[in-house]
Amino acid sequence: MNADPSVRPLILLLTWGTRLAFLICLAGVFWMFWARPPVTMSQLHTLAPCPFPCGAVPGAPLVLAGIVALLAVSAGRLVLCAVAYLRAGDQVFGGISIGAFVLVMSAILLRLV
Amino acid sequence: MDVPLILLMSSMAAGFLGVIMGVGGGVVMIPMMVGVLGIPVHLAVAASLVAVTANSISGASIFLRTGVANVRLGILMSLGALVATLGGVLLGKAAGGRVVTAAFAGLLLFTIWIMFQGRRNTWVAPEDSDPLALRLGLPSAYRAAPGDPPLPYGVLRVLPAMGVMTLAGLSAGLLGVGGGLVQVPVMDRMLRLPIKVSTATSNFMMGLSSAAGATAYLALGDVHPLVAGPVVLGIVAGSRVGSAVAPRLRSRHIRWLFLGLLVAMFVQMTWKTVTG
Repeated sequence: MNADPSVRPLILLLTWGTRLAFLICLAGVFWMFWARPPVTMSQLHTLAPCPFPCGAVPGAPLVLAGIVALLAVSAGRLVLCAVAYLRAGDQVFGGISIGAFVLVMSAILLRLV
Repeated sequence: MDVPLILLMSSMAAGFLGVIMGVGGGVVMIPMMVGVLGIPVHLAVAASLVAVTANSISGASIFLRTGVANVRLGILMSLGALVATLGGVLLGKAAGGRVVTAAFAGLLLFTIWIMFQGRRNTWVAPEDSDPLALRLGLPSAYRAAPGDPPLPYGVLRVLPAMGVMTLAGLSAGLLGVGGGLVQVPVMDRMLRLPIKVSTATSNFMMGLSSAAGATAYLALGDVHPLVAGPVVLGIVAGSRVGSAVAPRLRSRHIRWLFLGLLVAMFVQMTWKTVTG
């Protein structure tokens, strides 16, 4: 029925990659609870962007690592799809998957803007 | 009370309500973060995009395992949405907070309208598909329930649908919402997919465009871990509980209650736009 060659590797990546990313994120948030961040409710409106690793907030490097892992799993799906399609001889969808991956990754270039 | 705890609890409530209302956690969470907690709008949008990505990938494996999501169609439709997502991020950064809150108020109005639209849910046979869909092998089949016979379906109007999908991408990049509000009606009415396939494929696509938007905000330093960490965990947990409870809760009265909530959020975002 669903003969798409990308499905099986995708399920593996999504199941284990997501669990690992959530665990890292959860550890960071626990650390944050434990150490108490230096921001109160009344100061939330003054929050400014906090680039990686955002050392001022306890647990931040772990939270950000978990978030990067989540984003990598999501974008990594396209690499897996590309490999699966190309191995199955489907060059059109292999190319489309690579194109979509390049678009997702091009977001990193905004750092240079 | 601690900031992370309040964010965790409010995002759990938003994830729960988003699923029950069928609009996604971001639509509820952003007005809560911006209007109630006073978090700057770009940080709220960035945190919401990470949460949408997390929600999408945590649900995607279930849709793939059951064979309902059409991966080829999802990737193809994502192309236009991805370009628009990056455009939405740049537009949001350039235009400032007031434009984003005004656009969000518009999205809430659209959400209210969508909540009262019926679904067509009639699909076409694979052989009646668009020639481009046939050439790309997009028609597929799915099982309505485990053990049921496969139901083949075709795909219509591929290129126009790709064009409209850019709106979903734009809303993701600019407003931090998943885009399902646009994607599912487009798949239902333009591509003419079965509703289960539309929902599952939209979930797959949402993870891609929100990942692009979240990566862009991360590169710009707007993914603040104090906000994003609790929000990601809270929305995913709340959505899981909402998915389990939703089938037992739907009723006409609850629909009116949610309408009231959406109207209140619309007023709040409009007020925020006016007052800055």
